[in-house]
Amino acid sequence: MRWLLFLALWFCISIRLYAQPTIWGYVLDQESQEPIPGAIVQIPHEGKLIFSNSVGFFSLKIQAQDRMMIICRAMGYLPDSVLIDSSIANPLDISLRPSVLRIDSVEISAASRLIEMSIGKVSMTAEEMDRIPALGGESDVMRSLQILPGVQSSHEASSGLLVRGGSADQNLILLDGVPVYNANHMLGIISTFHTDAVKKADFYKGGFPARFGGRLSSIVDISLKEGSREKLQGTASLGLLSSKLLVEGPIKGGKSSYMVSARRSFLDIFSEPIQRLSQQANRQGYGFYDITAKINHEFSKRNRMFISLYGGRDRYFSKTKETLERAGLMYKLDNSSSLQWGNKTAVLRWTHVGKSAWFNQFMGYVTEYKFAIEESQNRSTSQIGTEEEDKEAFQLLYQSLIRDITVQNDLQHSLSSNQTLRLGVQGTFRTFSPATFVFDRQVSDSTLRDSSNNLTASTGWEWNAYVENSIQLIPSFNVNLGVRLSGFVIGTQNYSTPQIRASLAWNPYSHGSIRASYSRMTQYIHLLSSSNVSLPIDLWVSSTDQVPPQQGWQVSGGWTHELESVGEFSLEGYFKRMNQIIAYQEGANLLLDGADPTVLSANRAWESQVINGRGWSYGAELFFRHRLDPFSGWFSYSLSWTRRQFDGLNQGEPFPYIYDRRHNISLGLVYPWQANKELSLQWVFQSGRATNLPQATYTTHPFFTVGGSEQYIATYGDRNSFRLRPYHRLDLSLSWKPKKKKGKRGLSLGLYNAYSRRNPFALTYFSRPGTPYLIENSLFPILPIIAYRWTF
Amino acid sequence: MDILRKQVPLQQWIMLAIVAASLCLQACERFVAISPPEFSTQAVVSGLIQADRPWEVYISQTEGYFADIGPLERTDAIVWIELANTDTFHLPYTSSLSPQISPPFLAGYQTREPLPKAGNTYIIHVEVPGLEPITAQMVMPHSPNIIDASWEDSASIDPQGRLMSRLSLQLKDPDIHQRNYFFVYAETIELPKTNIEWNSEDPSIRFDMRLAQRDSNNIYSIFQQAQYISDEWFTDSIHTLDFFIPSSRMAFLANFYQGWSLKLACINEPFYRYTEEYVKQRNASNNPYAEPSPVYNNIQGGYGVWGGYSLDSLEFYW
Repeated sequence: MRWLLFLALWFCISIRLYAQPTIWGYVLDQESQEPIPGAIVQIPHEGKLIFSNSVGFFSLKIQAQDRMMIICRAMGYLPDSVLIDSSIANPLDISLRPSVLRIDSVEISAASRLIEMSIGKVSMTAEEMDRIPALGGESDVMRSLQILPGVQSSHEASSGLLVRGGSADQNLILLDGVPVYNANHMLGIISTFHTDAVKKADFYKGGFPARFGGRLSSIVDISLKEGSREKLQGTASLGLLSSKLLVEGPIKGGKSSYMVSARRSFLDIFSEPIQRLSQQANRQGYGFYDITAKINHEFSKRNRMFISLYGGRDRYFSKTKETLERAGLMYKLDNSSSLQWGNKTAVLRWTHVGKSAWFNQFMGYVTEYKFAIEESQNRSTSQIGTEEEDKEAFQLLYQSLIRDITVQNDLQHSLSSNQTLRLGVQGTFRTFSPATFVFDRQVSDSTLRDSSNNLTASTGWEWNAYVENSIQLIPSFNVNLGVRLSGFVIGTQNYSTPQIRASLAWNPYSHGSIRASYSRMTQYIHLLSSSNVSLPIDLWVSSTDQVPPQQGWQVSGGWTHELESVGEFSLEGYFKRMNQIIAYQEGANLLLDGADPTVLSANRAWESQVINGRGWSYGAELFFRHRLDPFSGWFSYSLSWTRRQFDGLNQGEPFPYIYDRRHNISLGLVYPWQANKELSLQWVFQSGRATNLPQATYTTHPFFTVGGSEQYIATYGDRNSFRLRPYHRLDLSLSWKPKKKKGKRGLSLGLYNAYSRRNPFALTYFSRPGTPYLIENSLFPILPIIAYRWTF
Repeated sequence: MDILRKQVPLQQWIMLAIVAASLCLQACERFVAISPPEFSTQAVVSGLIQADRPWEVYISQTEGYFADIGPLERTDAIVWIELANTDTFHLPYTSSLSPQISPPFLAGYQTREPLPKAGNTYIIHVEVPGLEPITAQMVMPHSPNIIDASWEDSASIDPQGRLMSRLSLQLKDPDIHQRNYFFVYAETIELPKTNIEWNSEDPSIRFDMRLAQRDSNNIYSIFQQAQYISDEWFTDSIHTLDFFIPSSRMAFLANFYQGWSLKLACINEPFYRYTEEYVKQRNASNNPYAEPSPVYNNIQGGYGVWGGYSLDSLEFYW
């Protein structure tokens, strides 16, 4: 309880309510009148600053002076200043003009970053994401974040994030405040977020504010555009992987606006007719789509409402149709199978600014992730020339689902010119249906249904409450202190944990800051994933009485320095501990029961196939963002170690995590070449991934011979003791944005993996006569980057 | 596109396309052979000893997983067994193996005296020229007692909807104070009803038998139609196991055999864990979704298994 007393004391001391006038308002885009989240509102002579929140709202207590200057900055916008006095009428809307010259944009974002990084946050705009060369010309939110130190991808071209030694399920990915459980299309090659629809992505890998929780390793907070309130506009683009369309505009009298975006791949549309024409018995295809829509309405300056919808689906299918004639009989076979997965989210937000400039946000949302494997087979046999048929059919459906229904309320208030208080509550009703298996068999009008292998769906309640106080003790010293209380109830089991969050930033001189943070996190859900593969069929499961929630804490510290007119540089170190993480037992099998291969593993409770353990990671990260005229770009390097320890694995000894990569380098260079042209280069390097390989073999006891043949046993050394070759790749891109009378056009051409490095993707044991043969498979050789965009 | 055409002549585009295409072709070979992990050769003991039957032990050595596998058996080892610091005896190598296990497998180290007895602790020592000496220890388990077994020939339906005969086996746990392990299987008795000449040296046939008491708590493995069971879900010393046997299979076998035998063995932990983990590794070997699975090894300085079992059986006639 000592920490509770300490916190209570802290808040009592820090809440000093002065009778100061409050100014509040919104930071808006001058052209579209859309709110700008994350803008910095500064009172220079007092050295005070505040960030606008997710809907562009800010409030400031000011000294009762006659006049003072407020400066507002935001990434991608020119700074603006406003002269105010104590008699100013609220709301004070500050409109910022989008920056035209790129160099301005970089400079401003650098200034913003210096402050943001000092509190452990990194922000990226859609424009910045577009400037990073991307596979297929498809810019991507998640892959853009992979240039940051401490962040890596799981495999070639994956958009999944592995942050500071954490696993893929330990990232909280929020789309307009709603968690998205599987943020991948095309098995991870691109993420589910259409970058044209994204306004901004905030990323935290440490120093988590108390308002975020539920995952151990990172927070990705993606804000969608709200739609221009001024005019109808849009973007259409064609790429190798997908094509996209975005339309936005006002609805009525500048009080409402909308944004709708859709994206679809065309692989299935093009491939199926070709396969049909070639009369192949077996046809396969893959496709994905997603649709994002957002509508907002301003009832008054104090009351606004937002509705966001997202739906996406991936589908792989295979169809076989065959007819055989043999010995006077005709056999017909009609097979079809599919694997499909997708997310759906819907959120209603209502914001209200109270009398004393209390900002209140109410949210209600539903988010769902579902995958299904379907297979159906129809067989018939008939004598040629007769109509009578013996029919046999079976259908199989294997599906998994996780769904959250959440309500939450957040409050934000400026207590004084140097303090902002946030507090909130959240309740989530969560449904897990980890594996449902339905098997129907029909033979001559009789049906047999077997649903005996279902894992029972379970439901749980998660609740959270937090209080967070950002305080500027002196102009050069900022503290963000908070506590988050959370709990989870499932069946008769009740978990609850307090989580302390603290971050300090000290600016000992005008161009630099020193920071430190401590965060404790709890995660009540787990992702059951094989260490060999990461697939959409990985199962989300709940904490239970046998499997406790994941707990973790992290300490980090760093130094950020702005090199005048050159860029900024940061150096950071961290140590992270993860407890009660889960892993499959040795020999456990995702689909089939390890002990009895004739039954699906769903027949056995998943808890019996997993074990609890712990993990830790530590390292140092260097990030240099430069603008050496005429070049701009970045260099990031991380040196890290990540270990796992489970009593039932590797004889209980710690072992390297599969993604324990010692060195990670990302180098980017952007060169403005002639007017409206830009050359980009990106080079990435990662140390080889750790994996398990059999080392030796020996014969079993003759008791285990099968059909007179000797059987062999493989021996393994220490777990994950074998390293694949390092990964490195160079991407080049030339983007061209000629101006037209109507709208803007953009063409990107380039090369992904320009020197065609055969990077390791997976290991295969190839069988030559009598000998297994070990090879590394690679996924993508050199590939063209082509994307065309038209903004109207 | 007009701007592109004006600024970049067509020839340069063609050249660019040729360069890109050649790079793509160069990258068509999308795999690279890599060096396999290093290992050191070690001796392997394979000994699953049945109580009151002659000793049979097989000695071999490991080989690199990714190397050409040559003959692994070793016939030049010195093998001796120590009985709880009181008695020591050698197992000489002999190429004529027991009739229970047929060639062409490993040459065996065997002896008939003294016979292994339940309850005794046996330590094996092996010295193979050029390799590290190895040793292992095990306790020979006591025999399980089949108290009763009843077989319902009338058909019932298993959870998958198949027609089954039901077998109830009541057994006595040898020691309720420690963990015990069993394997159980059913096979036909060598009393063919017909005059068919059997080509196989061992005309008895094992048939499928499934534990009915499947839930998340009981631990079992299946290998070659034998069920391997741990007693951690037994509540007292007398326990009843229920099995399903496919009715169609029983009806077919009844045409040829006069009866069948139920075999129940009490096995020690090394035998059980070796089997369980070998089955897991075998099932996982070609499955990318399965975790890699090392196999249990109780041999100090080497690999293999040093385990034992005691067998009881009961016969049924159609």
